[in-house]
Amino acid sequence: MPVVLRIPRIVEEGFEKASPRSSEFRWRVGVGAAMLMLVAAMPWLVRWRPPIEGRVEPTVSIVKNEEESDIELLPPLYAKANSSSLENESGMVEVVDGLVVPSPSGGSQ
Amino acid sequence: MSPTMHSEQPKLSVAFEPRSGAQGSLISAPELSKLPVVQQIVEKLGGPLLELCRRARRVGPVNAGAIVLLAGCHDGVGSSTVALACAAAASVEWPTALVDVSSSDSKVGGRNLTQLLVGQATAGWEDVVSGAAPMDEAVHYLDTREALAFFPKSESQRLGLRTAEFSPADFAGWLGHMRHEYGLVFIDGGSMDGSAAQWAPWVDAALVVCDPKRTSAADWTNAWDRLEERGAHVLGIVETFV
Repeated sequence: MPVVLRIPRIVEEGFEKASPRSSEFRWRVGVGAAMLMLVAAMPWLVRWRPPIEGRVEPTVSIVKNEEESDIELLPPLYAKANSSSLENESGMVEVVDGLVVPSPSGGSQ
Repeated sequence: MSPTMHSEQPKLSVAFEPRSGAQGSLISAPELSKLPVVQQIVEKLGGPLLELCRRARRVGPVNAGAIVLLAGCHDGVGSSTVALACAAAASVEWPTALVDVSSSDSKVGGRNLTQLLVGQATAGWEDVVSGAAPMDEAVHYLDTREALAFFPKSESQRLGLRTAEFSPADFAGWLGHMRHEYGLVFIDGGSMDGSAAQWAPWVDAALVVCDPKRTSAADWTNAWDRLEERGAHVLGIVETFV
């Protein structure tokens, strides 16, 4: 065959075939992804407590037991300050029911 | 004359094999940074390409330049790339012209030479032949020395906006002018399936570009015969993608 020139197949430089990713690259990507997931899960990890078997959770009763309570429930103030009560110097209230006002002596004879 | 008879002649069966190293490269070849593949071909095969150009130059008239047609056996065998590489190598020794006459299906990297080197040409070689545009308006130099001139196809002709009308006398006159201006004129004729064969009567020599993986012996023999029947002297076959 009268071939005067043979030109080989020339691949354009700079257009490299994509090489398979190395194991080192995969390892770094895996560690990075794990760190990212750990950081993202931090808020949830801080709040969470694992349940202990047999432990009684502290509960607050809605209905108060009056015997155990240190606070004495008092009636409203207007109920104390009626017309037949007086307040002494120390601020204590004294019941003055049955007080009889003496009549002036020698007045009506 | 059939290619088989040519193969029996030792002068035409000599192959210019690629040579590595400085012997094959051309130091003063134009920079074709836009086309790295062509650049690499010229760098690696500059010597054999220049030797081939010298042979083509000897086929032409003594006192004028030679016109060489590059015809591909099929589309996409790289005839435009080979034409550009040959022109770049020849421009080291002579003022060289490259003319894109290929049909639009002849491409380098998906585009034809005009689209690749110029983009959209307002004036092409058809306008010069028909007298619609001067030579200076159509020529595009591909190097700083202005030793490698490129004549694109007219954009209006390509889009069918205007039909080139010129007589054979106009055409012969333009080719004669090209012979005097340039030592070698390479015509990228595209494929033999297209319009390459019709350029055979107007050229001094022809090169058949084939991809050996796609082209059978019958294909290049047929292309060789068709070119010679129309008056072209076939220099030989350029195999691509080897």
